[in-house]
Amino acid sequence: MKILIIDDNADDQALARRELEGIGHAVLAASNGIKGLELFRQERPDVVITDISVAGMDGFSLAEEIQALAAPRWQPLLFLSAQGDGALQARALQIGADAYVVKPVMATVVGPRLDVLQRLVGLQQMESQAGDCESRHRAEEAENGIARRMMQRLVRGIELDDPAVRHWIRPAADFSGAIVAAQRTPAGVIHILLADGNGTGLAASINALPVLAPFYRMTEKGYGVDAIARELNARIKDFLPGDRFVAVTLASIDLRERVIGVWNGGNPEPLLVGAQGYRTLARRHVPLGVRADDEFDDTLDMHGFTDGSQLYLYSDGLIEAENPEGEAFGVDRLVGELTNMPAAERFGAITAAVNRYVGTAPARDDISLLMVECRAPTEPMRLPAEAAYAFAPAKAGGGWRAALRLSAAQIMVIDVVPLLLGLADQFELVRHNTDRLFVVLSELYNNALDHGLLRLDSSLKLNPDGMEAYLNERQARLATLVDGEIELELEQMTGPGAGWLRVSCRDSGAGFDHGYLDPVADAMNALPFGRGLMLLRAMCAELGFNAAGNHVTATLQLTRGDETCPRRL
Amino acid sequence: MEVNVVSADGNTVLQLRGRFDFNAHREFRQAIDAAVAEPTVKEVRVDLAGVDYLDSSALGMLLMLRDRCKGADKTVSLANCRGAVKQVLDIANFSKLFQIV
Repeated sequence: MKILIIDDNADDQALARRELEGIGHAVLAASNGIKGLELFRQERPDVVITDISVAGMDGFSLAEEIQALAAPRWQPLLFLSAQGDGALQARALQIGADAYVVKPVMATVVGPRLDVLQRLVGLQQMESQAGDCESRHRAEEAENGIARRMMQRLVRGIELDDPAVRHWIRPAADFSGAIVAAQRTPAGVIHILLADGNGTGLAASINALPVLAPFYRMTEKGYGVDAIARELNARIKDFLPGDRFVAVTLASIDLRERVIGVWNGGNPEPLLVGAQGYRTLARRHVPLGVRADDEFDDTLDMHGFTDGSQLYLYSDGLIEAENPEGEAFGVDRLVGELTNMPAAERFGAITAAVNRYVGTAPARDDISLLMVECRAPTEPMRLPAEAAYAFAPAKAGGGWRAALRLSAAQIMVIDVVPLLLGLADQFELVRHNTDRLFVVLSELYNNALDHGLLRLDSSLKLNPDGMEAYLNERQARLATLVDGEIELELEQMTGPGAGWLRVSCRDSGAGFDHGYLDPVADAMNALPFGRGLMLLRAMCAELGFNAAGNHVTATLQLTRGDETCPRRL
Repeated sequence: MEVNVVSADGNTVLQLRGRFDFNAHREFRQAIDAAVAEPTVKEVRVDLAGVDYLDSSALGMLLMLRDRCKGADKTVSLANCRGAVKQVLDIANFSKLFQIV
């Protein structure tokens, strides 16, 4: 131990030093109370041995000052005195001395007492380390709590509150490296993301985090999941150390067109489960953060689906989840649950099966599962609940309405879209919006004409030179049109915000299948049709079809010139 | 729609003016034919600065141009996309299919 001796008698001091060093202690010495306190501050000895009457200060007040300096620790302290005085001894012990030793200091007498003190000092050190440990642990817990709440908000925010999407996460540690997210594009396509950072806990969480913000932002802007995958890859490559990567599956589910596009980098193969069985979406890419941008492959795995199908995305933690015997849950068990259960019970059956299987076995990896109900909506597209748009014709006297009905004879010769645009341009609020109104009118009118009256088949465009053939055929049929009519109507509406314009288009044709899109084309972008509908959905707050598909109503928000163009969420 | 074809140094620029929709089909196809037939042309640029309006049939025609140029080993770019024209191209995700300058 390190021992500080405070004694103004040089002979006594030298003797004590020799005795104590003789039994293996390191000794510091001071000849008065002031120097003693100074040395104590600097050296923090394990034990202080002080004479009861030292120069400059009496031993008792010196002891009190030393205890005050040492607080909250207890400072082992021994008093030395030339005479054995009972009253002095009693007082020394009262103020917290641990022993009272009559000079001269002899190793045989002081040694055993010091041994006792040494054990006490050891105990105190352990206790204080444990205390430190505990308070550090508590601080960490508090920080983790904050981080966990933030993560939960990020991961399970309002974006996942989509009636068609369900998710489940069973983290291995407090933090999960598993992230799931879902959001709709302006055109109403569901985008989902399932990310699994390598490792578990906070580090894995942090690895997976950089994918979230770009996913939401790009989806909001209507980018495809292939473009999103490319961007996320670049982000992660920039952001994470070289040995870190993130397994990510992205999927777009276009419920109206019944097309799924999947980009899977490093997660198990997603499953598309329908009434007739299941399909494995087998195209796999390397995880994000591995390849440089110029080597990156953003090819999507495209599939059509039938209504009532379910798309399942999951992390490897699910099939690798072990029971107490150390056996993995496996794909076969998962497929078993998926194919043996009615659609409505599948999701719950899987989570229950995994929980049952794992039982009390320690979780090794985060488990995440994401499911989308794939069913084309039967209703016209509805707006999100919080928007609660309620459109009504503008009050009598305040608004305007214009309708135009054209028969075959006029349809053949009149360019109707600029005609109506010129009319709408007379109304102040519409004037700033003619560019978008053009797109809406043009798409509605051409749709009515091409498919309603001319009965052109969009799949014509799938052939080589298809667009050319389509345009020629359109011209030919238009030239010989004898029957049919198209009615266009513009009406100012009241609703939230500045103003709204409803554009209706009705044709005398048999209607068209507005839910139809050929799923054989291998990428959304390459599809030569369906684009007009996409534009309408992106630009209109509300788009409705009657069941037959020959009466379409689109509601467009009117903005002042300087406002940015609103888009549906 | 008016189409003005300007060629120089292996580049062809199709300057479009007005409303780009079905009605522009004939003019646009003639311009494509002219650009693609010229073997020295390596790059075709579509200048949309003068286009007020553009709809999905125009998108189809742009894709037609892209296919024809691909077959003839030429690159296609779209230039001066602004306002609603840019919005329509964005919604259709055309930045993935065309170089937009």
